[in-house]
Amino acid sequence: MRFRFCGDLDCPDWVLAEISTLAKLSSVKMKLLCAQVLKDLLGDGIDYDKVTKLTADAKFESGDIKASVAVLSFIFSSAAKHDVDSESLSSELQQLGLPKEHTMGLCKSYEDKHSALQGKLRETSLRLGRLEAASWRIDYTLSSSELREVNEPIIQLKLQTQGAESGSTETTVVSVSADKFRVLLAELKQAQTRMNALQ
Amino acid sequence: MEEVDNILIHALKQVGTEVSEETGSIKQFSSELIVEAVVRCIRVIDPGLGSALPTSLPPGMSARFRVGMSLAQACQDIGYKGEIGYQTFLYSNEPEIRSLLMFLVEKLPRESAEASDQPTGKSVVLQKAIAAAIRAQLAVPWLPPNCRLPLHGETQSPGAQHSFHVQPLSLPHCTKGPGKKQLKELQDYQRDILPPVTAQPSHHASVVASILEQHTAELSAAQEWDNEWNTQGLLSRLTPQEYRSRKLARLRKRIEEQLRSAALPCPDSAFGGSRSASDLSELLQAFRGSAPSDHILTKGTHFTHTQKFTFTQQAAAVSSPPILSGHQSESDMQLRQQEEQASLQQQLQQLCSDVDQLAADMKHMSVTNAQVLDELKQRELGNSEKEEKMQVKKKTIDLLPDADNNLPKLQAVVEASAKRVVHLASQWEKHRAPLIDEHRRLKEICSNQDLESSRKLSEIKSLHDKIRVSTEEAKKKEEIYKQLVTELENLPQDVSRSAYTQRILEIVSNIKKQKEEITKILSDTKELQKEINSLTGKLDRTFAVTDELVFKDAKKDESVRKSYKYLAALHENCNQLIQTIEDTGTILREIRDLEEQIETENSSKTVANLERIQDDYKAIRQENSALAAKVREG
Amino acid sequence: MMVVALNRLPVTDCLTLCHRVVDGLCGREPPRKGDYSATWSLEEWLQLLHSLTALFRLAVGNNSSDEEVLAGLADVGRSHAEAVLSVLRARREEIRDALLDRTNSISSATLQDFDWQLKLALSSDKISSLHTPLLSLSLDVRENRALRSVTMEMNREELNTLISSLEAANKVVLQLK
Repeated sequence: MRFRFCGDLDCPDWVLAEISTLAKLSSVKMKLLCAQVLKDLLGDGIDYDKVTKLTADAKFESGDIKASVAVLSFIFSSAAKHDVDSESLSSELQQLGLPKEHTMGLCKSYEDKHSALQGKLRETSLRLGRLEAASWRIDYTLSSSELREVNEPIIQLKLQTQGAESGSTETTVVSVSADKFRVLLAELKQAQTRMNALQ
Repeated sequence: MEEVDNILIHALKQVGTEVSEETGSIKQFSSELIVEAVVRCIRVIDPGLGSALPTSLPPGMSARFRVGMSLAQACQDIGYKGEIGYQTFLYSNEPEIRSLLMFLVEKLPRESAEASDQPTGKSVVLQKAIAAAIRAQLAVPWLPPNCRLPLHGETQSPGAQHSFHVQPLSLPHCTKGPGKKQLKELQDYQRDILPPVTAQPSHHASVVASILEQHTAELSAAQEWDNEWNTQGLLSRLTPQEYRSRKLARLRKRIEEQLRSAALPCPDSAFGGSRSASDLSELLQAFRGSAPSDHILTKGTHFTHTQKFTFTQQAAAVSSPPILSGHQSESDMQLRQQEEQASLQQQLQQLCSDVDQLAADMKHMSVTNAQVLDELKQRELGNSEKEEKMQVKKKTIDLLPDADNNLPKLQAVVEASAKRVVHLASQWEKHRAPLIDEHRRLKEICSNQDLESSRKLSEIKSLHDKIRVSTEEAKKKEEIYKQLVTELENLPQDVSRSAYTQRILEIVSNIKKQKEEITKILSDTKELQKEINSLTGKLDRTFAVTDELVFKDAKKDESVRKSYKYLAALHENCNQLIQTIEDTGTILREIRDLEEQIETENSSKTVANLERIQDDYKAIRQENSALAAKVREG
Repeated sequence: MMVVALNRLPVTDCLTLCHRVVDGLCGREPPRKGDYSATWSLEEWLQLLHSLTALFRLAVGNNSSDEEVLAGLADVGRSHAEAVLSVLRARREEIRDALLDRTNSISSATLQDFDWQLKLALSSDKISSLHTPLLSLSLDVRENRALRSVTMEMNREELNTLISSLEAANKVVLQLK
């Protein structure tokens, strides 16, 4: 069998196994657990005490708790990754043996957070460096040892970039001659129009 | 039917069913194909319903049966009114399948069909192009580097990597200063010595980069200038050169003022600042080199210079003692020498400071001198004024002794001058009037011209705007055109719209013809019915009259009574005959109906289907018995 | 001044040599010693090159008049001095640009070159359909005579911020021209 929420691949065995663990929870508790996992995926952190309390009724051991959190994380992130709508997800999960009430609760939470989850995934996708801030200053050179009368502006540019690997901020200060600056701006504008044309 | 089938097959292909080229009609559809076509249609119509259905028939008979059931249920859910069940799919008959497919194809969402026909937007075109390119690249097999053809160069060989490196180029007719006269020496150089552009940079790789960058630099400069000129330059009503030079002058003035305001307060605040301030004002002076010198500025530098002197003096005084103490532990000789040297140094320093002092004094003196000179000039001015006054008074005093004589004389002089004044005034008036008129006229012309020129200016501006808007529009339209062309190229070529419409028109006209014929037949039938009715009426009336006549005579005559009996019998028989003819007609009609029914039953492959049903039944029984055996074993 | 040594060369060769010297000053290929090894020794050659370069630099840097230049070339032959002067006249703009470039590179870090690349990210490990345009901008910064490359990747918003920031700067630059 192939499942859309697994990217048109077969469902991993451990997911299959843990779905039966999930079935032990009551559907209400399951929905609350889903909310916690979604919160974690959206970067707001997960409250483990709450999770333990939620799973206390079903007499989960710590291994079961971890497994259920893992399987829910997998289902949500994988479904969001492959852009599966909640109805398809619901039918596929039911095919995998999750009870109908559980599936409905899960899919409802998924539907509510679908776009937010995709936005988060989009945001955390691989990027080779980012621009954090740009500031500038313009100097007017009057004279120099080379030329007695210069009278040309020169631009000091400070760019704060975030490196690709470390994520640490790096600051580059560079002076740009007026001609170079004009060319740079013109080229960047051209790039911008191209970029806008892509959508 | 051929046409309908073609349209259906085309629609099914668009949905994604893989109909082979040979299949030309619904009759040739196999059960598998039917199931696939129906499922694909349902998926498009209602994705939620369709996603649960498989596109192919499973091997097991019971599973097939279930699939058929669920398909039938799905079709009914969508709203199919006709008779449908698992048998429709498993034991197909042509008309049923055709009507089902027609229903499904009609149900296909219009928007998606339109969306695939209409312009789909740039991003979709781009994505399609990307997908095509990636597919093409994936289709090219990998080759070891030695075997690569230029064809693979793009995707497989890493290629020469050059970073974008720019070097300054020298080009003839470089537009650095537009409208500048070309020097003869420059022309000579460009003709005889300047190497071609490709030989100028040290690396060949940077030729293109350098040319591109130079071009962009010049282009953007020209654009910026154009923009500025159109927004501000035109309104100033100057020539471009004048505008430039005025802007430059304004800029210089602004910078000068800023520098001066920054340089002046410094000497009062701190010693550290004074030095840089004086340097700055020197620089400022140099900067102003070409401009006429200004008094305030020179005074400023003057002041800072004196400050600088006092500063160096103090610094020297502070630095001398440590030099002395550093050499005390040496021998006497050295000590003495040292002392001597130190005293000499001190003397020198003293002298230096004296000189500085003197210089400062001198500066001070010269400043005072200048002030005194100024004062002197002012005094002299006052003197000359007073002298003039004195002369007037002296003259008056000279005239006083001979007052009687001089008074009338003076009066005469006064009168004469009064007259002259009046005369001059009238003369002035005479001259003034035409001059004023002239002035007014010129003023009017001037304001007219002003109006005209501002009107023209606004016209020019609006023209500029129009040009910009039109170019943008043209660009946009061109892009749309290009996009449409690519879309047109990408469109499937097999749909010949005109053929279809023609065909539809033909069918419509056929239908019209048939309708006419039917109405004709109907009217014929009506006519006949009418005739029959009238004949029946006539017959009835004739019979009634005859019956009456014969009945009257029959009372008197025995033979007539006999004929009356015959007449009654004849009437009876005729009625019976008519009844029989009518019965024959109905039976014939029934026969025809039955024949048709037989034909349709024949066409629905009943016998073959029955055989298949029997086979499948056997298969199910086998499966069941196998399962039962398994259960027993288990 | 070693410019006197020019006298050993015919006038036309002198003209070519001076142009090559200016080429060297402007960042192109300078004259090669090998071409003139018959005329001058190595030491003379180096001195001549140095003094010629200094002459051109000073003449343009101080905006000297023709007479001032000729006065500096007093001990060179008349025709040779004319040749040097004609080179100076022809290349004044170019030399000025080169000196301007040197003035600008006094700063500790200057922008030498830049390059950009527009990419469309189709998909990532996090999400299967990403479709985000990204602009890679690479700046070659000359820092203490060494080239360092600074690379950054910007999405649409970051590019917009950068451009609007640069636009504001450009407005000021335009007032200064």
